[in-house]
Amino acid sequence: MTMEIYLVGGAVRDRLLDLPGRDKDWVVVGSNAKLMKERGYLQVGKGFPVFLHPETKEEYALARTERKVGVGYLGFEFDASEFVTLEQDLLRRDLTINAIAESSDGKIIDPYNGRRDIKDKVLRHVSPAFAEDPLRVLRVAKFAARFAKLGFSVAPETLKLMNNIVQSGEMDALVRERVWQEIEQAMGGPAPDVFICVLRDCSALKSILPEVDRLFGVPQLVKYHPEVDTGLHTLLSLQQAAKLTDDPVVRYATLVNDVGKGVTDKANWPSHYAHETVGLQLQADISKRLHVPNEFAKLAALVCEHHTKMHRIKELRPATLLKLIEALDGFRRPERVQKFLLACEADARGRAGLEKRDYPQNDYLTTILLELTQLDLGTLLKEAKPENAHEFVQQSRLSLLSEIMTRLNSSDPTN
Amino acid sequence: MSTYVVGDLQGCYKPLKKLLRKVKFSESKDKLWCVGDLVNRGPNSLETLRFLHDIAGSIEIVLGNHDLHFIAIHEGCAPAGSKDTLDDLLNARDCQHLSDWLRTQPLAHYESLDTKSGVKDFLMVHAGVAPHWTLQKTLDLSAEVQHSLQDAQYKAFLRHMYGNTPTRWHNQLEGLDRLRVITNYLTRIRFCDEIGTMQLTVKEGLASAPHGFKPWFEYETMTPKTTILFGHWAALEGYTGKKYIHALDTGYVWGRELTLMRLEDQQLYSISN
Repeated sequence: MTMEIYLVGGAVRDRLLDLPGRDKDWVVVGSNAKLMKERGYLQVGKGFPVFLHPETKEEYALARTERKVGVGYLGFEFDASEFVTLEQDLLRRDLTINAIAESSDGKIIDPYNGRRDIKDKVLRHVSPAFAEDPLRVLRVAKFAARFAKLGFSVAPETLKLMNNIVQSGEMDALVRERVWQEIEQAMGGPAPDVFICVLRDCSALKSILPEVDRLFGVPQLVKYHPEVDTGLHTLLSLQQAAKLTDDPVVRYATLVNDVGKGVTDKANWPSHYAHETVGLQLQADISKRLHVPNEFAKLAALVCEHHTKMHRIKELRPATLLKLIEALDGFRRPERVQKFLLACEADARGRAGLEKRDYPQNDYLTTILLELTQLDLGTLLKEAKPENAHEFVQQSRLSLLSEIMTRLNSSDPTN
Repeated sequence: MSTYVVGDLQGCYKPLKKLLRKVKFSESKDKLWCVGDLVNRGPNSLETLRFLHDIAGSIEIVLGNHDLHFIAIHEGCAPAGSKDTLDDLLNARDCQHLSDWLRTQPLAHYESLDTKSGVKDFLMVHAGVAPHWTLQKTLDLSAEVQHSLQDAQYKAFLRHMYGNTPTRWHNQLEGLDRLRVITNYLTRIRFCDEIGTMQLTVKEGLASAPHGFKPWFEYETMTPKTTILFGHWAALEGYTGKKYIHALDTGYVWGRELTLMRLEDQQLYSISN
């Protein structure tokens, strides 16, 4: 039996899509652990059928029929052996575009029509075995987001299969850290709004983020939200956030910014009084359920609580504005204020017809903060009495702030 | 030297002995594989189990749903039902010994044998496997259940193995749910859908397939190619339509036949009730 080596997975797919190269993954057919080691490959872990090339250190896996091959009953005697064919190995992969191989002489082996699906721009499952891993629902949504700008969409049969998985309640069985990992990656990648859309299309959003799912169908005041629907507003805001920054922390804050509107009493629609406060509790539920890291949860909470105030920042009195800066811990964490501002800007622009509106509030607060931080605290504290040092600093800041605000507002032509 | 597999015995000791005599079974030279459901519903559960235990060196068995049910009743983890005929066994002084022995048995047996048509891989389970399980995976998952029957929490498993949900296998299952699902495929499955969702309430034959469901063996794609031996489904009357899949339960305890097959040449022997 001769040993054959094939390039597989993402490397082949990205080459066919004309995308920049990533890590190369190789599959070895007709070999076994002993033969690999004889040729100098290093086994990655005890009982793992994966080997590293002695020079390039790229990963070479024995052709196998299971994604995860355990040491278990008989080692990987059957699932990863010299008798497993390339087609069997490719069969266990999730999507047809990920199940294409290239031989060492450049020939493409494509038993599941991955190239046809690349041409048709379709994300399609390889076989019903797709359903064995409920986590794939999230991964397909992530791929849909990644390739959205190339025009890819999920095949209807695949969406139906994903829906079946969701209806079986299997999304609830997923380990929360794993779920969060997919959400965080999607928030940090292209088109995060497409990730949310695909999850909604297969009913997975209701399972994973019901707080966000609930926003669809909830109307807002058309005066401020020409798009009306809160879910749509969230998607538009997410699109704007993606344009403003690659930072997943900002994008996540945008995603869960308005969750409070999902529980407003219908009698009050389209107004949503105090949706900020209600939203904080809902965000806390999400954070607990998904083990959201502190950095993400904290910014999301700040945006939720203060975004409305931020939009009206020019109307705030100095004392109120100073309180806002302190709530943001603006003096000690200016970089977080920047993230806060980006999320607020995304929220302001995430409205039908208002995508290109200016958000002068951003510069306004940034300038104020910059000038305020130039206050020489060292000299000030020397003048203060120890028992009212804090109030003294506050007062000094307040009077400086009033000065700055007066100056800014008087030079503002729109005032 | 021959290897034989026999269908569900369900406490029917006399026909088993007759069949073994018919093929001149030799404890020193031959092997007997049992597809499980050794006890219950038939008249002689105690004698059947004692006999098999006595020739333990010459047999390979896999546990069936009735075997697990017996162990659960004996361990006080489940009540006996009105149709159970396990009293002689449960009241015997060697019941604990027999139950403990049974508790160490696997739910899947694999062996490679020399047959008239070359070396073949054989897998024996009581009822069936999930559509996309490979041979390796079947053995690994069966071993999970086998181990849980012997570890400190085995009674928790016995208490929680009953039930029809979750209805299908996926690789994120954990804990008792995971063990219950594996046990259901190996010891109770008949009909399922393309992604393995089990339909555990229909017991009749192929003609009564619920809409969207087929016999589990219509979906199996086991790698490497394996001959599967199973029992449990008497309504099949020994027929699967698949060359590599053999249904051994022919319903002796329901008034029909007990079937024995020699693996080396697929020769069949049977005895009517």
